[in-house]
Amino acid sequence: MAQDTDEALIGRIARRDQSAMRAFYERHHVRVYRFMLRIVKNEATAEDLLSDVFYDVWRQADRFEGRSSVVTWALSIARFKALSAVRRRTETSLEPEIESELMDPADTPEIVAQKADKAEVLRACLSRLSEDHRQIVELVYYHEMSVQEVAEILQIPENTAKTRLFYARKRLSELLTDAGVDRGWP
Amino acid sequence: MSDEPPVDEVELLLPWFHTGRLSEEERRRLEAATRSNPELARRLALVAEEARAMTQVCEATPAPSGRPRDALFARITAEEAAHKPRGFGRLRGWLAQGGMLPSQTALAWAVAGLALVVLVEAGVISTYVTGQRRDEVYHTASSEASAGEKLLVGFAPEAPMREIEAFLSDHQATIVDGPHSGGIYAVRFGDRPLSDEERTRLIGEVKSVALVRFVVPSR
Repeated sequence: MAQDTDEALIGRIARRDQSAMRAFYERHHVRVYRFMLRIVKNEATAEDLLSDVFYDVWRQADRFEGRSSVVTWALSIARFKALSAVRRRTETSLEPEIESELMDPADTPEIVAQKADKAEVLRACLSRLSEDHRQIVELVYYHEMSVQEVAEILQIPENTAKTRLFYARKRLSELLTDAGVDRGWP
Repeated sequence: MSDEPPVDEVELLLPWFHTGRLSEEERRRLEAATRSNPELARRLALVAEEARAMTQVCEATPAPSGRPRDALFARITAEEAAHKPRGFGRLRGWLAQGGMLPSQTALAWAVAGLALVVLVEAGVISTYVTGQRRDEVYHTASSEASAGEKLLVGFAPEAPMREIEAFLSDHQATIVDGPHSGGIYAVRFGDRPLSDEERTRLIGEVKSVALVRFVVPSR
């Protein structure tokens, strides 16, 4: 049987259909969680926020106007909640020691370069990009968002989305060069 | 030098060309450009390398546990239960479905008349039978307790009742509704509404108790 599209699921969710909500959650919760985890850098916080994001989807489904894709909408909610949580944590300086080491590998790209292959160095360098750069790289490469969708999620003009990704890639090349990998670009 | 703006739109769009997220017109332009320019084709290969690495980084990130799912659907179930008509409301819905209920206007007049009768009877009874003074007003405990912070709490299925009672007493808490499906209770904490910060702290505190499976705010 053909699967419901996201838009069809949202329509059913707007009519309080819990089975549609379960299907929507199963389809997207991992990518939403990973997106937020990279921002908040704490698994428990990301899990709490994940529940909140999907609860907002449940409550606001009847107001979804379809001007963007459902995933873009959900990721926009996720980003807003994650950034708010980071801001709250920064203001109250709560438990900085619980930040996951997952996001900040102990080995620098230089050390990785000495003992590993180029792909591993590239992964290490990606993890060392600034928050803004890493977010846009992730949205384009992992979530496969269009220019318009990226601009909507990050709340920036489309041209800024294009140049930000360009500079993120340029920075990545610089990090690779520092780690001894010359890509011949830029 | 690194601040120089890129000269070519084609260069900017390479990542979206790789992921197939361009308009048809842009796609055709990029296709022609990469075909005729070997350097651009080489840069497209770099984009593919980056995309592969970013996907690997993301997919190496663990998936969430089942906790957020449980919390989400407990919240939804509790919310739905709270909105379901109860008692007379349910009966009224059933009667209305069967076309057995009078119109809204007729019903309103009937209810108003009934209320008047009850009020007159109550006045007569209180004045002539009990002799109570008018200022001896009866207060329910719930009207004062309703100012606390309400959370939806799921207790561990094996949690002994005496431990739940001790938990409630330690936190000046009262079960005000439930259990809903999934063993969810609406629990009121304290006697005043909390600020966002206080609520977050309370949730964190309650969550750390071993017999609590999960806790979420109630709206």
